[in-house]
Amino acid sequence: MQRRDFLRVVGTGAAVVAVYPSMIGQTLYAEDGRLYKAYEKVQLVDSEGKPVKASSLEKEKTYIFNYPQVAVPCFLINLGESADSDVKLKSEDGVEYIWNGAIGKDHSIVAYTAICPHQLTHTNKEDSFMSYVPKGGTTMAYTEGGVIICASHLSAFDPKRGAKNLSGPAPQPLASIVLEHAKDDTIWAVAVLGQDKFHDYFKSFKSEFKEQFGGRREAKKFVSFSVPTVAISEYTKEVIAY
Amino acid sequence: MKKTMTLLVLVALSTSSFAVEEKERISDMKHMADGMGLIMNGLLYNYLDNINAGVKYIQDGVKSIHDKGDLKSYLPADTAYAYKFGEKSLNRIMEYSTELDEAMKAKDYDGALESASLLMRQCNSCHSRVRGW
Repeated sequence: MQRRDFLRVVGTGAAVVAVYPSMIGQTLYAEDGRLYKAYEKVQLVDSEGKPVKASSLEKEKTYIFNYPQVAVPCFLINLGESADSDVKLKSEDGVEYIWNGAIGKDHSIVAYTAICPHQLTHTNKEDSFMSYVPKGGTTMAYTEGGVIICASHLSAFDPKRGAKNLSGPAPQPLASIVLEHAKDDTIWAVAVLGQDKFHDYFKSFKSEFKEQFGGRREAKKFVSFSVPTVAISEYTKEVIAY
Repeated sequence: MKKTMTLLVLVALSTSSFAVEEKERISDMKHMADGMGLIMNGLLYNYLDNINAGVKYIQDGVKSIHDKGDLKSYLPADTAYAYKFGEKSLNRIMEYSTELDEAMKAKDYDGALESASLLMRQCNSCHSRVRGW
C-alpha cells in the first residue's frame, strides 16, 4: 500500500468514528495486547433504581448485574483488598491481553461475566453453579478461598488477577467487565475485556432463555441507560458450590 | 461392643439398601447411549425413525433414573455429593432432546444438528464430572 493510500484509509476511518462513535463498539486488538469490546455505557443501580455507590458495596459479597445483554450474568465483587494491576492474561486462542485492575478507592471492586469458559455453566434465575468463595472459605476447586469457582467441573479463577484461570478444565480467564468509577462514587459498565463466549452461550440455552426472558431474541437485547444490581441471593434461588 | 457392631451393621445394611446398584446405573446409561447412537445414525442417514426412537430412548432413560428415587442415592458414593449437578444435567438432557424432537418436526435440520451436539456435550459434561475421565 502506498503511503498516500494508507493515510487515506486511516483518515477515513478516523472520520467515521468521529461522526459515529458507536462504530468503535467492536473487537479491538490493540498493539499493547488488549482484547476489548466496547458497549453502551450503563450505570449500575439497585433494585429501586438508585445508583449503586462503590463505597456502599459490602466486602466479599457477590452482586449480580446483566451486561452487555439482558441475559448475560456478571459478578460485581468488592474483594476487600487491592487487586493487582496490569495483569497479562491469555485467551483460549492464544491472544494476550492486559487486565488493568480494579476500581474504587481501594482498587478492590471487580466485575466478571458469570459464565464459565469451559462448558458455559452460568448464573441464572433458578440456580448458580458459579460463585465467589470468600477468603478463608473452602472449595474443592482450589486450595484456598478468595476465588471464583465453577461447581460444574471445578474450575477456579483469581478475581484479584483478572479472573485468571487457576485450576480445573477452564481454558481461559472469565471475561471481565470494564468498570468506570465516577467522581460521585457511582459505577458504570462500559466494555467487556477478554474473549467472551456470548455467541455459544446464546446458542446453548434456548429453553432457559424462553422461560426466564421470554425467548432468545429478548435475552439477547442490549441493556441500556442503567442495569439493576442485586445480591446473588436475590438474583438466583440457589447457589451451589463444592 | 456387640451392640455397637450390630448397630453399625444395621446402619450399613439399611444405607446400602437405598443405594442404586452399579448394574442398574449401567443399564440406564447403556439405554441412553443406545439412544444417542440412534440419533447420530438418524442424522447421518436422514432417517427420521431412528431419531425419534433415539429421543425416546434418552427420555425413557432420564425417567428411569428419576423413578429410582433421589439422585444422591443413584450416583456412585464418591460423587453422590454432586447430585445437584446431576439433576441439572438430566434437566438439560430433557431440554435438548425435546428441542431436537421439535426441530425435526419443524424440518429445521440445522436446529436439530445443533440440539444433537448440545445433547452430546451434556452427556460428556456429566460423565467427565461423575466418572472423572
